[in-house]
Amino acid sequence: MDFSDTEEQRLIRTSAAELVRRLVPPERVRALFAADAPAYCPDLWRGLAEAGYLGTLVPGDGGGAGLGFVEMGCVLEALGGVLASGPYLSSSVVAVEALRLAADEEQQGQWLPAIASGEKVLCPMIDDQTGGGFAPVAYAHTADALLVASGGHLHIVDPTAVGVAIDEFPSLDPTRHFAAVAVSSAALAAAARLAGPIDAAMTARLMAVGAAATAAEMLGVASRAHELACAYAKERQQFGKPIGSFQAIKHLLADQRVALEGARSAVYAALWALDGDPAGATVAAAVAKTAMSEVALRIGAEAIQVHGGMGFTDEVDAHLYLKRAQMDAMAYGTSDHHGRLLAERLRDLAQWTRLT
Amino acid sequence: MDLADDPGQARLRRDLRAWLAEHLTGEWRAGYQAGDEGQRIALLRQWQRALHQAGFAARSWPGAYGGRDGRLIEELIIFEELARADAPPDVFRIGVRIIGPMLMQLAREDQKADFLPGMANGDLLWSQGFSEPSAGSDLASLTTRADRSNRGFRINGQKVWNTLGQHADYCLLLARTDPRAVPHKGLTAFAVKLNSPGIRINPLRQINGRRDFNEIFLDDVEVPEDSVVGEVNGGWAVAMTMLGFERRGVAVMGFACGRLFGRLLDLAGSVRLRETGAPAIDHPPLRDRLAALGVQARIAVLNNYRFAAMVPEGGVPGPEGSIQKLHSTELNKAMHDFAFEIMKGADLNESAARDLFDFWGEEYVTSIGMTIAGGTAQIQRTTIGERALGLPR
Repeated sequence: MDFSDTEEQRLIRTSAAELVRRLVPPERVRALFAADAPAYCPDLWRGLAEAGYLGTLVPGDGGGAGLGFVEMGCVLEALGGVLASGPYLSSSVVAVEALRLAADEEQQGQWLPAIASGEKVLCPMIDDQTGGGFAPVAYAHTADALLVASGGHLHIVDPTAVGVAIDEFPSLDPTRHFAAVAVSSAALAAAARLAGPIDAAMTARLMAVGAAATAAEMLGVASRAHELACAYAKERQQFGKPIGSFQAIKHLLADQRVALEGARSAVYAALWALDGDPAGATVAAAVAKTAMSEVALRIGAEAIQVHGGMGFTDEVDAHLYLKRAQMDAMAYGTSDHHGRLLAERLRDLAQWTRLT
Repeated sequence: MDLADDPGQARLRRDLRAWLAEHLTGEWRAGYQAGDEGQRIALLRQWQRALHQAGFAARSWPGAYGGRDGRLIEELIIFEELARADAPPDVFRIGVRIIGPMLMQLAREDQKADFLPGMANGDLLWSQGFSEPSAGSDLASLTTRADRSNRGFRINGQKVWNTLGQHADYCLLLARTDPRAVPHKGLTAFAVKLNSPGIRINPLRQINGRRDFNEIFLDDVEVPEDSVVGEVNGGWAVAMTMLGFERRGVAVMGFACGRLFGRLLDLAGSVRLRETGAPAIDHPPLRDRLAALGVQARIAVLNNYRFAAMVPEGGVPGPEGSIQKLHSTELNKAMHDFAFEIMKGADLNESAARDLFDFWGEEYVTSIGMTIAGGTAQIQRTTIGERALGLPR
């Protein structure tokens, strides 16, 4: 039982945060809001590829770093913290896990090195809640291929093929792109598919990966929103004092930190469980996702409140964190979904230590 | 990061579970339940002695002072397993987790040799004399005086919220030695024998029915020069070091929350609701709320392990201890509150349901005190705001 980062994890945590801060300054986030701007910044994608982060989870013989989910979480936390746009979570996390589970050697050889190098982006659509339609799907229109779960298989679908409808819609979150995607049965039938079938356990595994990864992204979002609120509370003066000296603000921010640190424990544990305790990963991911969603939404909203009237202007970034958290809370299982899952598995939830 | 036990940790866990199965018998519990206050303390001294002999008490202390040179993480594993087994109350915690670690940093060598081994093995029960009727959260304003005398110091004043002093051997007491200095600079810490002439201890009856804490009246109490702990007028450093360790000591509360969650599941499984006639746990709204509490209970346990990894071995815990204390004591309250939510819906025509009030009533009321003891929740928020977040005073 050791919660501390390894030397390598410490290194990745610092260098990923540094790289991402450099490649995604606040003005770059806003530059992407323009109607004619690209969906995400090629510089960022190239930078992530060069640092090896796009292939964090890709095995060494597939051109990746062969690292674990805790290391991957360091990258996602950093990306969330700067409101980066890009399909990292989809392509480099969930799609890579899907390929590891269901692709044969040839398919892995075709996709994994290309994902790690940034040459190809694969968009997984695992969470079919409506029978045929998927939404919200992140960055479907820019993907090289869609990886669509249907009928016990994962199909590799060309997004420009006949029978594929990608309806990008303006979500609450201006920092990322989401679409509703429908794939006709004819398009599915015409598409190649990954060699192995995908059963309920694999789907649950992919959902746990997606949920834990989304929670890691939100951890970055919430941490940064909390930092912004704290910084403003130190600087903004009223009644001749910084507003952070008033207990109403001080205690609100202290409660944020308590909630944030608790969620951080849950997120790190869920990332660890994906490698270290696969049997407990679904419950750990559900714990992380529900806890993190609650905290990120609360901190996002309170960060606006602490900024007062300025927080309600577009000038201040606080609202972007809240809007991003809302869309994250929707991805890979809502709090309602994970809450129900946990309510059905209360005894597993109580099982917090496993004897090795 | 590896949240599984390494082989040594797994062995420790297994050994302790086996030891508890052998020693914490139904017979032992029955004897404890039947005992009066004095008998219970005597049993707890024996219990501490047994735990210590088996290597499960003060494990992270140096061997020379009665420890096992273990790592902090081993102590956490022990706390977790003791909580899981519903081990008897740890009345030696104030010595072992708060005063002892402070002594190791700030006391003279002869004091360490005199006091530490007895704290660890159950010979010496220690208590703490900080708060006063008009100095609670504002500790530095305390007025108990220690004036120079022929033999050392003469102490006069009144202390309150002294835990278990009526049974304890020693009190680590804070008194004012320099009334002219600014409040926190004129204080000195003393190791006071509680059977010294001039000391009167008056247990207070608490709202949970127990008498754990006391008023202490000190009337011309003579203490020798060598009872000073740390520097004369250096009592504030002693107090702050102890508060740091006290917050870490709260780790136990996180594990207790983990244990309590299992107990809530048992309660919800056994109580039949008046309206449905079915066990509370089958009622979906209650299940949902249990799940939400279970999420936070798991977080309380994880926080213990994660925060411990943030403090170097031998270091004094920082404000993260306040984060942990606030989270686990508020959660502990919410969980006991929920126990009463279940009981409100219970069919009290069943005598088994009525019997639950005895246990849960006392626990519920006790939980309310935990956001006051050891620094109120409000003081913890201020500490977090100023020391962790760097907000201005």
